This record gives sequence, structure tokens and C-alpha cells, in this order.
Amino acid sequence: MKRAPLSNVKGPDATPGAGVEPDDLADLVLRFRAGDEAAFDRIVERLTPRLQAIAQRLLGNAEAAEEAVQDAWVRIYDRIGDVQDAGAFEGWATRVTLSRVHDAFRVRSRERAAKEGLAGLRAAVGSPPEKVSASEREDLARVLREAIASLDDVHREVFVLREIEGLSHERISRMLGTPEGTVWSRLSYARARLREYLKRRRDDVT
Amino acid sequence: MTDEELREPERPVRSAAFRPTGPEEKARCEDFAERISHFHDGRWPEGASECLEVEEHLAQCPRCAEILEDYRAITAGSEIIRSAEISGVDGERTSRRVRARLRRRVFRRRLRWAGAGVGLAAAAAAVVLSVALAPPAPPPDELGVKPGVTGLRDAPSTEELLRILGARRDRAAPRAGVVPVGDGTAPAPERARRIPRQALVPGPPLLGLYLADAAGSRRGLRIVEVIPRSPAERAGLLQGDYMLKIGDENVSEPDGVRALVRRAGPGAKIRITYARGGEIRTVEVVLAGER
Repeated sequence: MKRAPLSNVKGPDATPGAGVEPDDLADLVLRFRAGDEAAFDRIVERLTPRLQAIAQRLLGNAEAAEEAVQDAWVRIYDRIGDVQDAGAFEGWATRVTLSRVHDAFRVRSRERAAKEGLAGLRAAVGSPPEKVSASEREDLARVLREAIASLDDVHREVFVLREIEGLSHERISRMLGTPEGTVWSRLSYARARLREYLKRRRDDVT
Repeated sequence: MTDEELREPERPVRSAAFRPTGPEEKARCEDFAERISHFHDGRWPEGASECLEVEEHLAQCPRCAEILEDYRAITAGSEIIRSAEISGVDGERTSRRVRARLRRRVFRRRLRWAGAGVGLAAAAAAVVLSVALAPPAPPPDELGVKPGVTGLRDAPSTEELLRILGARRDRAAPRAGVVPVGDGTAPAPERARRIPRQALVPGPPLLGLYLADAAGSRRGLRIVEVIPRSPAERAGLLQGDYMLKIGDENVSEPDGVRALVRRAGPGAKIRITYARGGEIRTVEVVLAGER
């Protein structure tokens, strides 16, 4: 991915009416930082599908997800100055979104606690999808969402990108600007913590 | 390059023989804890020595075998979450709503200071006075803001008032009560200062494509999105096509495409060679803008 230091802002051509085709997110980011408001709108249009899909999966609710993503974009708009490197923008936008999603999750988790724990998840491993009822699936999803929400930011983000979004370790590494080895070890830590959380839940359930 | 990695098929775990776990065993298990996660996640190819080591350990260690089962269960749960149907996602609608929120926010701030006893008339009078006393407003790209001013929660500075009331010469005066988006929020002044005016050119893209960063792919540059109502769309290019050439020049990266298009210039006609479903095709595209 192109990495351009922000001091090296390259504006589009000076010819009036001749825009640069926006085939590069980093380019849009540079233009946005340069004050081009339309570039921000384009960035929102491009990244929202992906971000809102993750939000929706983690929250289990479309409206809450849309709220969270809009909150994230407002914050991104305000804090664009924090981004040092145009190539790191997508990773940063993802983090901001996950943070909003996490806040929204905590607000919403007044739902009744899911009954299922590890045992239910284990049963789901071997069974063909038809054997696991829709409500069981919903319960399993819910307990796992709670478990994911219990992780700290750094470990939650790698787990979500790997297991919820299905990105490769290499892509995660590039997106977050973290060495690949670190991604692997953070995933391992995340899995261990999730397992502990789910085991505790199972023990709590009578 | 695809975003999703194909998972390796599940490896069968040999049935665990039961053995008492002493402190030595526990120590070795800690060693293995991280490796079990890597093993589960497909870090090593089948038959690699690391895999064999882990499999051997799992065969003798029920604790670790249980850990692997639990990791598989967590992945199964994640699959359930992942397979949830996504509905109601609309990038353009979100973009509009975010814009509306940003606008409302600035308006609310204006109301706040307007309501704090500084009526519009008083504000206008203050402006007239400051304009009379202060030197003429500097050219747009030097217009700065006092550091530390974040939005308009504080009483606005002269520059803020001038900007809000439309004193910037390079912009049409805003309607009363409407503040151009971007003014009044902290990052904007920095942006205004940094960039010379003529570089902030909105305007239609010449071609209208989003291309994947191919990093030397031999298949060409994949089109990830075609902008609606753009020359590319009118020419019939589709998402998923692979761009191969512009004119007689091969293209292997987005920057190359950009350079060629720029060189051709607005209104120019270019011939694009592309691949779709195994077939090579060409199309003439008239770039946007006027010669």
C-alpha cells in the first residue's frame, strides 16, 4: 500500500475541472487532510460497507450498527489530524469503529444473558448447521459477542479481523501496522482469554 | 490478492491417552499453549515439524487437547457470527447522514454562543469594529486561527467571525445562519493554511475507477468499483474486470494508470484493453472534462 508522509501532500492537478480519478484510498485521505470535503464523503462511501458489516455482526443489530458507524465517522472527521500515514488510515478507521461498537455493546448488553457457554459451542462444532436451531445459534452468537467484548482493545481487534472478518494474518498486519508475528501471538492471547471467559460462564450457569 | 484466506482443513486429533498431569507436564503445556493457537489457525503446513510436534503432544496431553477443542468451538461460534446476514448498509446514505450530523453540530455551537448574550447584531457590530481597527484580512491560505480554539465554544476570535460571516473572498458568502461545513471544527484551519487554493480542486474524475493495488500481478489491475455515471461506466467497464493496457502501454499499478490518464488529459479518447471472464477486450473511453 502506498505510504506517503503527510508533509508531502500532493494536490490534484492544477487544471480546473480536471480531478484525479480516486482509485486510491491513500490519495483520498491526503486530499481530505488537505481540506477537500468531497474526499471525506467518498471515503465514507467506500469504507462504510465493510465497517458496518463488522459492526452489525458484533452488535447483532442493524440500527445500532449504523449509529455506531456514524459516530465513528464523526470522530474520524475530527481526529484526521491523528493519522500520520495515509496508508494506515483504514486500520485506524477500523479501530475507531471497533471502539464505538464496543461502547454501543456495553450500552445494549442489558439483554438477558445468553444461557449457552462453551458446551453449546462445542456441540455446534461437530453438528451440521441444520441440527443447531436458530435460537441456539443466536444464543451461541450472543455469548461469544459478550466474550469478545470482554477483551481489551488490542486483542479484540486482531480477533475480530481474523475470526469475524476472515482476513489473512498478512492483511491484518498491514492494516494495523503490526508485525505479523505479533498478530499471531495476540490472536493466541485472545483465544486463551476468550476460552477463560467462556469457561467461567459455563461454570456460572446452573 | 484476495482478502480472505482459505482455511486449512481440520486436522484430526488422535485420541488422547490419559496420563496424570504433574508439574512437569503443566510446564510443557504452557509452552504449547501459544502453539496450539497457531496450529489451529493454520500457521504451518501439513507435515511440517512444528505440526508434528504439536500433534504428538496433543496425543499425550488431554488438557491441551481440550484447549484445541475449545479453540475450535470458538471458531465455530465466530462462523455463526460471521454468517449473519447483513442488511441496510448504504455507503451513500451514511455519508449524507454523517454530513448532516457535522452540519448540525456546528449550527448548535453557533446557537450556543449566540444565546450567551452575544446577539447577532452585537456580533455584527463587533465585526465592523474589528475590521475597522484590524489590518485587512490576509489572503485565504494564510488565514489561521489562534491555537487552542476548538470550535466555537469560546467567544470567537476575529478571524472566526470573519470566516463565519463569509469574509473569505474565495468563497461565496454563506446564507445567514448557515456555516460552511468544515469551519469551526479544529482541524479545518490547519488544513486551510497548508494548501494553496488551486490545489483544492473538486471536479469529476477523468475515468472513474477504483483499482486494486496489484503489486505486480500478471493478471492486470482488478477494477474494484466503477463510479456511477462516469466515463468508465458508460464505456461498459465492470467491477471484476482486469485492466491490462491503456493505448499500447501495459499497466501494472494504479499510479501508472493515473499517469497515463493525466497525460491524455480531459476530454481525450483512450483505448483500454481489459480482461473479463478469460476474454481479452478493448473499449474506447472518452475521459471527462473539456479539452
